[in-house]
Amino acid sequence: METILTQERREALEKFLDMLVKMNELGLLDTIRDLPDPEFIGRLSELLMTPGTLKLLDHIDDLLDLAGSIDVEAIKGNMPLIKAALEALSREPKPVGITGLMRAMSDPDVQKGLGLMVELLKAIGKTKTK
Amino acid sequence: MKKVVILGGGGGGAILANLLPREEFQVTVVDKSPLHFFQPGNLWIAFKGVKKEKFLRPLRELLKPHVNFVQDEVVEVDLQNRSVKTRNGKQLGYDYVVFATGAELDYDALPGHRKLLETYGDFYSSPENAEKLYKTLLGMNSGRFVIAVADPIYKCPPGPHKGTFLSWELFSKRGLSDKVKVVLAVPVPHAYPSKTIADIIEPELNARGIELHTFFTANEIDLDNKKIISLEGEELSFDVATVIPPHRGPSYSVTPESVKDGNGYIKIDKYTSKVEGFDDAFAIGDCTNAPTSKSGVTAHLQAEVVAARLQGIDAKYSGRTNCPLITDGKGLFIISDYDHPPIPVRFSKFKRLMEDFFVATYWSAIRYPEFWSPVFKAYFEATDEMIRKGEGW
Repeated sequence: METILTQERREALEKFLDMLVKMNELGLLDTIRDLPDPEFIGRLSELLMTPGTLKLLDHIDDLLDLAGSIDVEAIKGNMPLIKAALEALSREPKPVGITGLMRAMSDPDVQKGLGLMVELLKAIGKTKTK
Repeated sequence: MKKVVILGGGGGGAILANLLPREEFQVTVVDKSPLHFFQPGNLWIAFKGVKKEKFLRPLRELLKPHVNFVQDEVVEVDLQNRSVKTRNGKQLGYDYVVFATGAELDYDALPGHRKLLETYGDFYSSPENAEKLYKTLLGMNSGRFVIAVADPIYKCPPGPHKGTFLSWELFSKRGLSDKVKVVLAVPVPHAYPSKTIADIIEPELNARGIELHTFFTANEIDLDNKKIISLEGEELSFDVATVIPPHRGPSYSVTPESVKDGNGYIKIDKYTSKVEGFDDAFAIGDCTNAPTSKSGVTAHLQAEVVAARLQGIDAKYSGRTNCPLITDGKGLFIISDYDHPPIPVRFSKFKRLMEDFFVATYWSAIRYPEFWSPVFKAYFEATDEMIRKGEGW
């Protein structure tokens, strides 16, 4: 035992044992002991390993790069717009023909929305003309 | 208690032994070697210089304590009298026998092959020869390194391709990608038997300037003139070469002889692993004639099926493969089964990580297969769904 327990190892072992004591007081050792249960592992695996998650994870490096390049501030700033759009989409609007469209265009809210649409179309078109 | 004798303590045999409940089965594993070798380790040894000890463990430690281990060589199996004879004269009776002795590599089939092996080493025969190959490659500063294949049936179908990519990586790291030409010669019409996979591999080979020869079945090695001659009449010159040899089934005597096919492989029902004509004999892994890739995954899944069947469950093996093809930075898995050809897969860093994870958990998976079973089950079910839907990954 003396040869195995060098001074450094004795120190490390003591710290490790103290850590175990703390974990035991917190009940963590019981958790660690009980977690590797075949049912729990099975359910966790089923959750993490679906065709969807496997495909997602396969692109994890690209997705992380993509996520890093997103302008998060712009999204935060436009949250009200995004929420409003989603709300409108869920409302099941009635179909509108050319006369209905003309009539709608006299609504100042619609006019503002149309202006936004035009800017959006311009921006998209610009990326195509490169 | 039912007596089960498992011939071979490799990936298939050891997992099966550790899966069978001790309350129901008295299990004996017979293996001529005291060591269990993680065979894919040959790639790391031969192309990355990893020491072979990392991939070798005493079989006795990998088998659960209640499993009997007889370190001896099987010389005769008599299926009619339910008895196994060993080199040292032991006679083992059984209620069930499972062949799991793997494939035998024939280095005497091709003229000049054994001399080639002794000169350069290789990454198929043994960890010692893999170490030899690494030394050889380290001493290579220019010329052609050729990897060729003698027969379309060999274990680990992407093995030659992994050797190709990893050796290219080795030369590239040493700044020799312009000086050393890596050459891959395969006996099939494309880079890989499956055109789907070949279409994914070929651009990677081209991008690295790796020379590919198709329709090249290595038939003879002329070491003096440093060339490999193919069945098709083509010649490939080399400075260093390795040829994956023809494989055979077990050479030990099995009665009746009719259970072996023309190449010595044990004939089985491809779904249940039952030896043809017998209810109390099974075969798993590389020693069988199952029409799917010879790989560790096959052995593992067949071991699970046999373990279930011995306990009265009607489990079946779907022919599922999951062969990893690594190029160091990225990897892919060749996913297919008896009824479906390989699905399109892309090289990705994630899959390469998954392969690393698998290698790291190998010893645990052998010793405690029941712990990892749910994880593997979830993975195979998810990827089976991809196969069924014809999706790629």
